[in-house]
Amino acid sequence: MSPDPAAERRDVQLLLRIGLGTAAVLMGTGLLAALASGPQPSPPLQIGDLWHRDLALSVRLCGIGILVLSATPAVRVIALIVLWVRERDWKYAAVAVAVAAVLTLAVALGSRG
Amino acid sequence: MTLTALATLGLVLLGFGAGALGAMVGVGGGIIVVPTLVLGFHVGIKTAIATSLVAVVATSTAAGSVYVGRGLTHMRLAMTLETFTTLGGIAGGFVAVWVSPSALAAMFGVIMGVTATLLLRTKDPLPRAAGSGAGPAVLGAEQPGRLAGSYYDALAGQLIEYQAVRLPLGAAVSAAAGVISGLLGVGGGFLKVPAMALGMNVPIKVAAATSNFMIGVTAIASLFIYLERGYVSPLLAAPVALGVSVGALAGTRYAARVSGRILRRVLSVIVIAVGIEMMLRAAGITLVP
Repeated sequence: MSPDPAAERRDVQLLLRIGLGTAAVLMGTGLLAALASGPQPSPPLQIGDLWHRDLALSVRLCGIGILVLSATPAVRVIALIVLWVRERDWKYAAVAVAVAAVLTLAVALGSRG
Repeated sequence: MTLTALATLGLVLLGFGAGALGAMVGVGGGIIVVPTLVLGFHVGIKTAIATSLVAVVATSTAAGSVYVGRGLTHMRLAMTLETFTTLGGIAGGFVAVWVSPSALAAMFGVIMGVTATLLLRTKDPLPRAAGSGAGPAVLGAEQPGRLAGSYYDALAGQLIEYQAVRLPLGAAVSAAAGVISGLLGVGGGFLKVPAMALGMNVPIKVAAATSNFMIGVTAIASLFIYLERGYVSPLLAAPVALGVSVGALAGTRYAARVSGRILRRVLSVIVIAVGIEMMLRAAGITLVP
């Protein structure tokens, strides 16, 4: 990762494309597997259910794809912290750390039930 | 619901339409996804909201990957306002799991009315010339350490400079947009874009791209809560997210070739009609079986 603004944009763009592409492949493969096995119910799940041994592969792949997609914006917040620290843009690096802290709070609060 | 090949195709098409319209008109896909899932696919409103939040993340990631490269997104402004939208998103997500489905449907109807009004009042952007004392220009870039920047407006054929002002206003509107996003599964761009464009002196194209960049982070703040509470259906959300991703990419490509005014009018009529149906549904009256 380079500290100049054009490279900053390219890095973020690349990260978003990798996240979106990976999620799309996982969700697409999961959907094809679901369609191949015929009509089936689509019950809502909790995150923990995704690692359940009896869960169908199609649902697992779609669920992991959604997790990858959801993690992409969080990863770009971390990437911007790194980029702005390297640029010595301390003010906005601190702002990005604050956003990361709020997201961590969201995960912690969500998992407390 | 039972997932058949036809239902999957319908969900992909729903996502595509929501993503394309959202990217072209500047609103998130949630305003289309939630009511269509509830009224057309008979999905519970909380699962529909959770699905919509996944779609919002997909829209933000897909459109963001294009707008960031074009230098339209001001990432420092986005990150600053995200501090407030994420806090609002957490609050909205927690409130939503305790609110009754009929109350959520009624709130959604009201928000659809507000969105339709703002859509009809929005005018096409008029470019402002560079060199108006806004600071040194950097081609299609933001200035490190400042909420200022510039972008090349292809329609006007010139470089547009800007300096964001009235940050407290943007922070307050962003917090409200975050609450609405977490509560109803919409992006909240219909509030943030006018606030940035009219109140913060940010050009509307930059405001729309920056808002789009923000909604992904805002949505995941409340999506974690929905995921942990068991409201996300992977087989329902995946086809919508795939459709939205392709639709948003197509929308960013063809936005300049389609009349924004006509699109906004068509979308307003749809949003008003569906909003009325959602309000009636909340009151126990069903027009669409």
